[in-house]
Amino acid sequence: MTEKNQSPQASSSDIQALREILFQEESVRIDKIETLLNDKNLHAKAIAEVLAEAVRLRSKEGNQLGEALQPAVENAITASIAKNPKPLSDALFPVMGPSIRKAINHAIAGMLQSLNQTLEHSFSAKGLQWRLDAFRTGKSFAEVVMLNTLVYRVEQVFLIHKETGLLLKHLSFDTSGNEDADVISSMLTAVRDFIQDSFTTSSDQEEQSLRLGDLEIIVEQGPDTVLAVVCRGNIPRSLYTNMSIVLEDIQHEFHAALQNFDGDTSHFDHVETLLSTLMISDYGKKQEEESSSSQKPLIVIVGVLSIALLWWGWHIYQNHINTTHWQHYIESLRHESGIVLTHVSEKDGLHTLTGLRDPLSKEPASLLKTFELNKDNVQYKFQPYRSLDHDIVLKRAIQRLQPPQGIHLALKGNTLYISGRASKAWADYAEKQALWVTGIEAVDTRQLIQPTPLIERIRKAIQPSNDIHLQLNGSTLTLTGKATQAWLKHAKTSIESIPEVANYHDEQVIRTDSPEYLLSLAKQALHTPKSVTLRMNNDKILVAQGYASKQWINQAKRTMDTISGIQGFNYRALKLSDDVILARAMKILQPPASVNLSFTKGILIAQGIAPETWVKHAQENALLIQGVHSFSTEKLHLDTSPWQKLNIEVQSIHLVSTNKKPTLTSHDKTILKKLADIYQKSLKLNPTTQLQILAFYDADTKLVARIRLNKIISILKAYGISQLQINSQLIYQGNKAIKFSLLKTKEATH
Amino acid sequence: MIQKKICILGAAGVGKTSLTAQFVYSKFSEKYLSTMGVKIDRKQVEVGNTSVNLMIWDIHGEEKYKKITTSYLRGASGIITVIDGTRPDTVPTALEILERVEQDLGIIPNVFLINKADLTDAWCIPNDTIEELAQHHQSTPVYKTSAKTGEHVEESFLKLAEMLIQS
Repeated sequence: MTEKNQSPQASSSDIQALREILFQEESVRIDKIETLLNDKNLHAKAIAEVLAEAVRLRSKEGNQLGEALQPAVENAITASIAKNPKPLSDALFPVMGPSIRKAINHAIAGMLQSLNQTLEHSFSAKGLQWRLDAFRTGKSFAEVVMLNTLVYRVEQVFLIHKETGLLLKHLSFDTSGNEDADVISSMLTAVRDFIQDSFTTSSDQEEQSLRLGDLEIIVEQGPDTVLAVVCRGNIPRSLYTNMSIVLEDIQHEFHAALQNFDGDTSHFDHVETLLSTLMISDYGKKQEEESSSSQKPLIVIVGVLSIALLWWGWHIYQNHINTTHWQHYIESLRHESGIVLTHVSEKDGLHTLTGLRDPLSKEPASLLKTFELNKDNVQYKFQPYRSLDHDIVLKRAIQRLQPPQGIHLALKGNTLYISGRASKAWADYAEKQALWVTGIEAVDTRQLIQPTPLIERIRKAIQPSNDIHLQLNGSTLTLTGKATQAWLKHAKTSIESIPEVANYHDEQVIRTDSPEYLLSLAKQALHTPKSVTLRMNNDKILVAQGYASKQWINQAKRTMDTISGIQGFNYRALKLSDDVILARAMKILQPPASVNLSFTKGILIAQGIAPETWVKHAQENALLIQGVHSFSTEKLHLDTSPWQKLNIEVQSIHLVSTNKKPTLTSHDKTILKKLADIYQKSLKLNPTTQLQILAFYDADTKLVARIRLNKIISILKAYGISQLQINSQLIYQGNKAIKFSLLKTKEATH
Repeated sequence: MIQKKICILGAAGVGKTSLTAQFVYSKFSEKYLSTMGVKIDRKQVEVGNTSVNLMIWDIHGEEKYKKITTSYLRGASGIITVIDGTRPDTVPTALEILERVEQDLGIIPNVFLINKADLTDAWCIPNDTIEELAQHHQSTPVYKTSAKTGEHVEESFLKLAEMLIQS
């Protein structure tokens, strides 16, 4: 009972005590486990110990870990860059540098390859053919080169709904030509259906291809879609595999849209990323080009050598030119007064000139420009000296004497001659000073006039020009030289105011404005022929009479304009000498009507048909005619020649068309038969005779004339005249006649 | 954009190509050129606020020994069945074709065009026949068209487009 009366707390504590005895060890362990579970720090520690191994193990099993971590990693990178981009950029620096370099190298290599392709084919025979193709097709040369060197390129991709043939998506390597993609898509479907129906091929056959010229269309079918790829070149087998993969991906990704397709293609906008993986191309080298690439180094070497050769040639040429110029320069310096060259040398392109130079001589560098030489390439080492060269001595004298205006200095030998008007004081000074000038040993002043006060007064009054000389003998003043009448009148009046001059003479002065003087000037300038008479009228107009050539008259007109004082040139009374000679020839030779005479440049020309007797008479007398230097009968035909008679007969034949049709009448054909017969006769007289046919046409009948001419030629050929014996010409002359004549070829005339 | 494939069918020489040319290019030629196989054209039309790109498959005419290639019909959303108004024998041909199409594709939107309405003197399709055609599948639109003058041509194609959108 006691046990039964025990309180429940007491029994509970007993159980607790018992539990503690029995499970003390387990309880401690459970506490430890709880602590472990609840302590986050201990968790982190534990995970940290196994995390690396866990990631490694999970990564081996698949991509799930990467996919799971992707958002976290992206966020982490974004946050890191937002906070401070430097650590990340520092970390990526070793990676980015090579990546960028690689990308740039790749781009440059591509560009060089394209350039190489164009250059390689620019000058080859194939290149020329491609240039022709480019010209013919209107494409650029680079495009043609690309098309021919292309290994392959996917140009267009069509994703087609299999059942309806409707276009779901289309990609093209360029934007042109996309307008009809939907029609092409339907048409491809129709063609596919047609082929399947016609050749009973399996509709599930995976690949179909269609070749159209350079293009190949590969069609790959999926359950709901058809993928058509338009390629150019040799397609790699991998493309077929890629197409299958893309089709599978599309089928997988757009399965629902394809199943429920109702014509709305907007559901397939995102398919582009899948299809774009098929837009591939390869411009790699073809085998045949690889062989040509082996020649590339040779071409480069030849090119470099050619450039080097050209440069060398140019260098030699320049050197030669420089040397020649230099020699000419040295030569000219040697001839220069006041310069003595003792030594000329050249080192590294620098020329050194050594010698003596008078300070009054010409500056040597001033001549460099004349010979296109550079002053930087020349060095002068001249010692000064006093030259005894004529020019230098004279220069020295002028420098020393400083002669006033009107004084002239001349040097003959060692004597200085001074002439002109100067005061006595200057004359004395000059005489003394001149002897101090190196190179002058004597002075002659006999020609030096020392003017008197009277003559100075006279000069002041009349103000003579340099052409007038005054001479005063006592009270008699005599003028000589040239002057106008007006000046002479003024001079005479002025002299009258000077009482010391009792006598004045100007008769010897030539009046430069007198008709006589002007006439003499004109005669001197014109080289007047004997057949021309010149006179000067009171109005100072030159009048020419007689016979002259046109050439002389034109020359005289031009010359007269240059002579001052002459107011005009009247040549109306002149007759053309050619006309006169021709008139004289006509009178003497009396040619028959069939002969035409002409005269030019001293040659009398006779042309036409003339009797033999007249030709003989003309040849005997023509050269006797004054002014005729030669008589030409090259264009003159003797009418006694049987061949010429036939020619006259042929020339009398002509066909006239009355309408604008090229038809030939039976009458025309009869005439042509007659013509052919005459021609055959002329051939016997001269085997090189040709039949000349001149077909005239007007504005509307050129084509008709050509057809008629061709018909006439074919008829004449039928009558035995060959093409080589016919000389035909179409001539625009405003009528529609066809004329004939016989021609002797050069062989015959010679 | 909505795309729809439609087929234009009928006996040879009823004017299928001319009707298509009139609808697509507004052109008509007196010259008769028999269609070999199929000719495909496209025209975009507006039905309400919807743009519909009609891919028109002009299929060669049905003749005794030259039946229509049914594979060309696959995926068609609508049919235009053409009858020559001057040739009564083209009516049964049209109905035969339609029956075959419906066997393959099921009942799909269809419009009857009785063409050459400009040849009034030679016209020989009685109104009874027209009414019978209009009663095909309870209700089928029937138009008397002229590819030459363009009469009811655009209207009939637009009607079919409308039916395609509503179906």
